[in-house]
Amino acid sequence: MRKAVLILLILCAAFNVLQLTLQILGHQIHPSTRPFHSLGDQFKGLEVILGHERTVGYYTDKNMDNTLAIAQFEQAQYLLAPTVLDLNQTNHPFVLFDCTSAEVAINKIKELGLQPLKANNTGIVLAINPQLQNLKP
Amino acid sequence: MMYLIALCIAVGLGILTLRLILRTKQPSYLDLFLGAALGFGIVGQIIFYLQLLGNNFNHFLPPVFSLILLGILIVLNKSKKTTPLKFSKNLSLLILPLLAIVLWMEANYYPLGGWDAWSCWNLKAKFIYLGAEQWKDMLAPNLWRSNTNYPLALPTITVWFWHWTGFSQSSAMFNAVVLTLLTAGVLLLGLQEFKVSKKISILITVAVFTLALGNTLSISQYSDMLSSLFLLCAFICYLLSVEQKNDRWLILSAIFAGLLSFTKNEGLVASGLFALLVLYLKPQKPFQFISILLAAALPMVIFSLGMAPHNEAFINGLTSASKPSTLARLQYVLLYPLVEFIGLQWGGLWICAAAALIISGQRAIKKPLIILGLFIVGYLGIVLVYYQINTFFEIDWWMKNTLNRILFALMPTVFLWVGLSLKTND
Repeated sequence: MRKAVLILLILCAAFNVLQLTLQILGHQIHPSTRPFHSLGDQFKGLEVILGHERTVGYYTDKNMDNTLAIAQFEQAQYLLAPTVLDLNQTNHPFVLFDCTSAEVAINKIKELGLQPLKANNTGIVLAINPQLQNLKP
Repeated sequence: MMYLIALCIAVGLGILTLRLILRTKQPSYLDLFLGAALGFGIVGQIIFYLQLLGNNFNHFLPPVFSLILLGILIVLNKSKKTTPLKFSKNLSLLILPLLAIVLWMEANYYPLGGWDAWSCWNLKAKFIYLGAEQWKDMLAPNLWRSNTNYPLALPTITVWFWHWTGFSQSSAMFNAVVLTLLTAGVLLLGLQEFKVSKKISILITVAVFTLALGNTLSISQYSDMLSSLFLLCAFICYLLSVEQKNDRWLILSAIFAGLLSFTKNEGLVASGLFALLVLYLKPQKPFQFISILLAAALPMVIFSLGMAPHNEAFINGLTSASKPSTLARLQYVLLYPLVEFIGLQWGGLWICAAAALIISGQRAIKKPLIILGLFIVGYLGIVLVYYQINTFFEIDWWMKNTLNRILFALMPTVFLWVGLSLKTND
């Protein structure tokens, strides 16, 4: 019986070593397969503009039941922390627009009476609310 | 380089504290690994208390406070005349550098860690480290997706290392690797301390720590690795206290159980269950045990009672009319773990554990090993009841995404039980 357990343990160890080796090789050969790892890059640099801003609005027209959309929001939150991103609330001095297209973002910015401040080629737009900016101390 | 300095101070604090507690005992490699684990817990608590007192991250106090504490511990160790460190050869430890290489390669593949690393654990660390007086914004209701009610052991440990390395993401990667190596070392050396053969202890450690899924979870920068380490340490110290009839090990066991409570909400449950079981088995000094555990768990008490917001991701399915806890959910909750246990992702480890425990016969359920069995069954029972009651999440998505982490954190303790149960058959 003892031998049976030992053999089982050896088989488990051998199987795991083999599976792990294949996993590592796969990751080394195809590093781009890693999930969600560059989503936050689109927000790089914004932390400098936002400075010590405590809360910033985050508007998106994406379906937030979609894993990729939530992942992007969460990575934006990580990158911009300690600023808190207030999802789909636009009554803040700064509002980030992460929309399905730049056109949708610009239309929404106009509709809300905001002013675009910075945009990048991935469709992320940072807008300011002139009325709330004037109220800032 | 700065990471190594931070690590040496943390490990030094832990080892010196451990040696002070166990001063009559001949030190061993296991002491070093347990001490290092303790050191991680100590620096985390230093950061937490300083943060709480100053309400802001002070860049001056953590190194000053820790170096003063280190100095005090060195003096106390000298005056108590602890036995000098002497080590014999143990070639089985060579598996740890090999494991380190593998872990580091994988850690580089996931530099940001898994989802909860950037969504929860490292996010909280960033608020503590960079948030100044607004650090408690990490508990804001609109951050509910980031598990705002989860405690702060891992984030405070991360902050300790960031403080020395200057907010380096690789600190979190190194921590994940070091915590995994410590868990592997404690399991390997813990089994050997109880005279389990080197062959079986090596086989168990290799089988558990080369699991591909476990490897991914290890380097995901989640708090599960920390829970796993503290839980394993608490059990090993408890079992040593029984075997050696030495209540100093029980003190250490209480400290590790207290540290465990601050790692995750599941860690709090595990810590409470562990304490109840130890008290049920009548330890030598129950009041000392419980008071030390409570002292080590004080950050969790402060956090739970004074800071943690309401869990937004909770609906009581027993009372909710819109999302009731149904019979179909119960069926899923009871059947899914069976599917998980036999899944290929676990490399047959649960089957192997079950077979080994059955073969080992009564030894597995005799004192003192019965505590391991009671804990594992009780803990999984509580977890399943929670899955059934909390109907906030769809059960299939929730169990598929979280049960594996709970099982992963439990696995080293399960295999401690397996190894010790097989001992008589060596």
